[in-house]
Amino acid sequence: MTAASRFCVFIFGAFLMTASMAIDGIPPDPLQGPDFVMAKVASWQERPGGADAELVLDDRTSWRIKPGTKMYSVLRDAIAAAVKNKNELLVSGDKRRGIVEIVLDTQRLATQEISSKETNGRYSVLFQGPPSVYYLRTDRPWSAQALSLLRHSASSGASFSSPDLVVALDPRNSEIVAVKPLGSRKAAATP
Amino acid sequence: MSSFDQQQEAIKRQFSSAPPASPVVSCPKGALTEQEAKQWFDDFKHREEIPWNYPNDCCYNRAHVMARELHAVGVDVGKVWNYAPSPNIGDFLRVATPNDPKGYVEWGYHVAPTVPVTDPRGQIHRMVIDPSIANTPITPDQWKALQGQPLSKLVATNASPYYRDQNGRAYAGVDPTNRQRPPTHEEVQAIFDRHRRARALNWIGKE
Repeated sequence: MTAASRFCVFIFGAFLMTASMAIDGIPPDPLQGPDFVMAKVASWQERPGGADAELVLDDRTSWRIKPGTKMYSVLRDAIAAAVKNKNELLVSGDKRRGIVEIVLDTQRLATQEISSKETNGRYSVLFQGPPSVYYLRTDRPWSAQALSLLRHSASSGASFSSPDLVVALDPRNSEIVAVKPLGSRKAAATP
Repeated sequence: MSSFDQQQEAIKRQFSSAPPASPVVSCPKGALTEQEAKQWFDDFKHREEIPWNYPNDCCYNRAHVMARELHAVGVDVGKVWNYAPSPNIGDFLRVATPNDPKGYVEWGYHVAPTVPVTDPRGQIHRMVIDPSIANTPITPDQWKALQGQPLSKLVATNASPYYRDQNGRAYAGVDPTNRQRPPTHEEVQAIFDRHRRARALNWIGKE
């Protein structure tokens, strides 16, 4: 293979990589909210003709979701799983206008370990079960309460099989978006 | 491939392809030849229901599924756990990957199944089956090296812990009322489904 043909193969390979995936090393912006609601699904209605679907949560907030996008199919799957398993969802968006930014699954978890101090405006947290590191941003209004819950979980004897928290994790930023005690109605992210 | 075909293949794999009395390959009970180990690796890697493309989570569920299937055909399967150093949280395991938009993932621990593999000289070595970060069976030391944390701690166990924390507490499944009950097929699939959703969310706007 000549140098020129190797160069062509390299360029073509690089083109294919950039065309199929965007590993840009830059995480997306943190969720904007401004509202973060963690609650169970009261009702979920998809409508024909491209009309917005409506998600109503147990706290009586009502959210509209535009169909026909990749985001919609992901959110629809998350909502269906939450209904089936009777789990809470985390909805980020503007609850006054019913605009959804994102919908996240929640998980029942116990804290394995939490950093003793913040670094770059965030605490590092390991949960029992998920291998990835997650972060609690200290600029979130609920961070103090969430930090207290996470620390209590780490020292409470809660475990993989006996979790004491309901947690919403944003996989895109590895951010802990909401925390509440298992069995409580109110999440640390809920104003 | 249908589940019937998969079972047939699993049964075939129990028998060495070497001729009887082969002077080259002698495979003790519960061990695999290098070729068989690679075949298992490739079979797992191509299983569509296993979300290999979400390295952020799911290693314990993937390891459980692989270990269960290997055990079912008589392989002496175990697991190897790699823990980031503790309590110095911050010295995480870190793996470069094309399966996260950031180009890497950070872990507090990682787990994968191990199998005994007989080399051409008849010696047996434990090899790690982990298609989430490798392209072929590798030794535990190679597997640890891929995770970029020299201070991490490798722990080998049998196949039974579904999850094992860094303090050594082991759980056979996800049942809060019975730590010894392995997860059901439905529980395993629900966890795979959750991780597929997280993977899709992770790549929205990036693919």
